[in-house]
Amino acid sequence: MVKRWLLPLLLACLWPTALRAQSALDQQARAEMDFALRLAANDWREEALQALAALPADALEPRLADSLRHLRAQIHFREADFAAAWDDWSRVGPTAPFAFEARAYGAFALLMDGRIDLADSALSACPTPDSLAAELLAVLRAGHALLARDPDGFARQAERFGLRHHALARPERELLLLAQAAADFRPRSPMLAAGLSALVPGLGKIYAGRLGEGLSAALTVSALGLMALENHRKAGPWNWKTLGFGGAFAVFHLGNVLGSFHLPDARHEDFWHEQDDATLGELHHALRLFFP
Amino acid sequence: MLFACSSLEATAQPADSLLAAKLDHLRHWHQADAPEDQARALLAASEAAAGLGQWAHAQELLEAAPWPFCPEPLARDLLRRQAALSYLSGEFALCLALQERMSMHLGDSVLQVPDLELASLALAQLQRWDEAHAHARAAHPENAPALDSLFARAPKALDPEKARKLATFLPGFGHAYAGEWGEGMLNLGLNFAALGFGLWQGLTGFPATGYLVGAGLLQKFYMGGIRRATFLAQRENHLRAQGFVEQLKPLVLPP
Repeated sequence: MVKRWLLPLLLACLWPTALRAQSALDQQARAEMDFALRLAANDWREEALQALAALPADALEPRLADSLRHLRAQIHFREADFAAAWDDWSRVGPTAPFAFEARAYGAFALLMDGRIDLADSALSACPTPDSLAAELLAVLRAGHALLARDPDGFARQAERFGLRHHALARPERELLLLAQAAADFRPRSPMLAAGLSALVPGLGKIYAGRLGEGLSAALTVSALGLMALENHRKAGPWNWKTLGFGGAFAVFHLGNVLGSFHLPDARHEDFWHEQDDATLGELHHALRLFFP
Repeated sequence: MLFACSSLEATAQPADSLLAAKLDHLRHWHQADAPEDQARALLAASEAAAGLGQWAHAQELLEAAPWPFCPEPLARDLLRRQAALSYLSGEFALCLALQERMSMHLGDSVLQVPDLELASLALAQLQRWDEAHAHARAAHPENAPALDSLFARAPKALDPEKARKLATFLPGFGHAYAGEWGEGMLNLGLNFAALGFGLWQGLTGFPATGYLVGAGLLQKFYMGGIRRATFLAQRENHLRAQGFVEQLKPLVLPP
């Protein structure tokens, strides 16, 4: 009988102490977060992260813990540490007032980090509190489809573009242009480039889109060939100049053909690199305008 | 003062304790209300950053200090330290600008011997010899004869434009003007060899070879030589200034 009311009595005595301790911890965390915000505002982000690293997010009151993670993620993002930024944003609770912002930026951080597959599942789990948020999500998913080279996926998302909201209209238009450029891009054939350069030095490089390189190769190889021919006709095939210029001609011509063979792949890579950079830039633009 | 800044690197304090100390001082800065307390906290944080060798960051921390609202001795210390850190970060023009700010806002009389020493070194780094000489003499009049003798031998700056023109009309002479006689003669030899080969081939019935090889080689050596001569003149200016500053330091800085 003594034991039956002992436990409730113990809880009643300890509960206020626990509450006070929690309150003190939360107050300390709030003060540290204010401090970190001020440091970050002065661009002393390393120190801001140092200050926030000491705070035990799991021991704080849930809303405060969410704020801490959101702040930390924002600073990591500014420091271009996208993996750490995603790590924090993914732990922001769904009931936080900035949950949508955290999820949207978290998915973007994954895209910046190159983890396209994970970004897809992050975008799927993103809540959409209203129609405008749904449109932003469509923009993000369209960008993701461009990065994943999925034209059908892009087309599905592009149907939801409103092209009217001040924050989203420009990114939507730019993404449509990027998708068009991607659709219009015709990869060049390495074998055809090599064949053209074998016939006419430099022509394969011009076909692969490098006019300057093609002209330079044409001049160099032609000059060496001309000199080899001149010396062959006037001094014979075994003259040192014929052999020298002939050998140089062979080496440069072979190099020109090999270079032309690899150039279409390099052009391909350059094109998609520029596309991806432009896509990520437009997505970031949309996020910055949507969440000022 | 300069030694005080640079010797912080030599302290035995581990980096972790300096990082923790920097954060603590920044926390005091954040919690302080009075500008003076904020300034002192930033000064301490800056010292910790300097202890970690982060000169530029230490200088950035001091930029946030509200020195106009601080008493004169503290404001002077802040600006003086900022100037020293700017020098250590290689920003000599900024160092001089901070000293100018100090004298403009706090009066000319605020500039003391350490400030004149620092100004002299910064001016020497910027190759403003006359002003550096004047400041060095003002800081250490007892070393006047040695300083006069040193500044009489102050390096004359080479003109990169003159080096370019020399290399244009007399290949190899631009290099020689910049002090690289060997390279200049080599460039001259290569230019003549290319020209000679082209002429020989042209005159012996190989016009295409003569023109293409001669013109190609000549273009490479001649145009490359002009660019190289300009670069050598700029590099020589930099080396001479550095050498001069090393000779100046013992006369200007305290032992």
